[in-house]
Amino acid sequence: MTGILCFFGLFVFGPFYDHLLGQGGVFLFVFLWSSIRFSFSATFSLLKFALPFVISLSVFGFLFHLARLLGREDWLYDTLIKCLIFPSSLIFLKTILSYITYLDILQLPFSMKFRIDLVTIKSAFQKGSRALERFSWYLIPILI
Amino acid sequence: MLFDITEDLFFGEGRELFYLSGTNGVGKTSFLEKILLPTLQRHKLPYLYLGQDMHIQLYTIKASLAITGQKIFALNENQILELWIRQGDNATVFILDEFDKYYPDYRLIFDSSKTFIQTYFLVTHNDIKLSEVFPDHFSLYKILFDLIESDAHNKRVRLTKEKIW
Amino acid sequence: MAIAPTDSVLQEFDECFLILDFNHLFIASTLHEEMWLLQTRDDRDLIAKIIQDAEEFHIYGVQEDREIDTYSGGEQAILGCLLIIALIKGKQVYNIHILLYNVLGSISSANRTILLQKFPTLWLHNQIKLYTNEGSFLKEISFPYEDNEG
Repeated sequence: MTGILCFFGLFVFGPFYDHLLGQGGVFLFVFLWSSIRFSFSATFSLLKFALPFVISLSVFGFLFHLARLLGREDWLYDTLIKCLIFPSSLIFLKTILSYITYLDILQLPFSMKFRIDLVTIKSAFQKGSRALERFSWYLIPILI
Repeated sequence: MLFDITEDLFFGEGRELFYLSGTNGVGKTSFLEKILLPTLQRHKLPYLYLGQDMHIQLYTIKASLAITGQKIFALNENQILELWIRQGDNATVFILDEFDKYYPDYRLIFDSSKTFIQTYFLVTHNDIKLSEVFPDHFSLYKILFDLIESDAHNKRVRLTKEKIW
Repeated sequence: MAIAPTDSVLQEFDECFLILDFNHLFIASTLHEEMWLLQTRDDRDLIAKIIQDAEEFHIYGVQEDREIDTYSGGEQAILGCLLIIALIKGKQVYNIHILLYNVLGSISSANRTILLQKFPTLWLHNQIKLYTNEGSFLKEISFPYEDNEG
């Protein structure tokens, strides 16, 4: 929880949001961390998942820059920051949540019903991720 | 997982059925998904594949039929499978991984596909009485997966091919 | 051995069914977590028993914190069964019906024989009834078990 708060408090909504080099460094760090935690191919798959959103951000950022929307001339710079933050946040959240075990959830000071709900959510996401991979696997020959 | 392949597992000479046999954990499904299927994809050989987790695959089968405009709402699972197989009549290879776990009768598969499938790969732990349901004019080969070495992290498996008939 | 449609059998036995479904064997991602969810906490004896029993099936390298997805499908099915057997004995559970759904078909005939030989004592002492499915129908497994399919 502390890690999540620090990440979002510093790099997403905080003082280091505007630092392009810092965001680049964060992106590289979470990419490496996730590659070690899971694998390079799993991390790369997650980046591919984020790609359509990054492309959309880029297209709109470019258009806003051309149009000088709201009189601003920093759309490209801001878009680049967002294109780094979005995948960083995605990879960071997936990686840090993977460290939370069912045992951690069971030991939380909440009601048993709430803990059961959290266990169910975690299990559903894990099974869902695995099912999504298998869906993709079976759909590849159909879509080629 | 390390596979020791003692002889060429070439197929495509006539009509053949390969029956993959071996105890649990020797890599039969890994062989199918990491070696056989990528090879078929690389050589652009169309295939049909019914995997071990058919409960998930049924969703993609229904999706593929819906994409091709088939109305499947009134069909049961057997009919959906049959329709999917018949739609895949450009395939020459059919791979079945523990299919009999869900549908004990292979006749559904063989009857729907024997006119266009040249090669079957079958993984099953049951004695399926192939002589009763097997399409005519197919040669039967057994590929035995034999665990040679195993420790906590690695497995070494030998694959041998044997002609049954 | 009577064969009956699944739904009607499940309806008859209502809440007294323990279902081991090959497609949804475990909730957690490690054996250790699964045992916690089943309220056995850190029962070292239980996990040691499962690891020892797994070696009878030539499943080596079983660890309580190893990701369950790293085992093959058949190995997972066997581990699920071993977990049930250990829990029933350990928690003194009686009079339930166990349904192995699409489980036996994913286990080799040799392993199936070894596995089913572990159930008679439960059947005898804990009044457990064991079922398997054939397609969408259920069949009770009687003991002594004879493997007609392998």
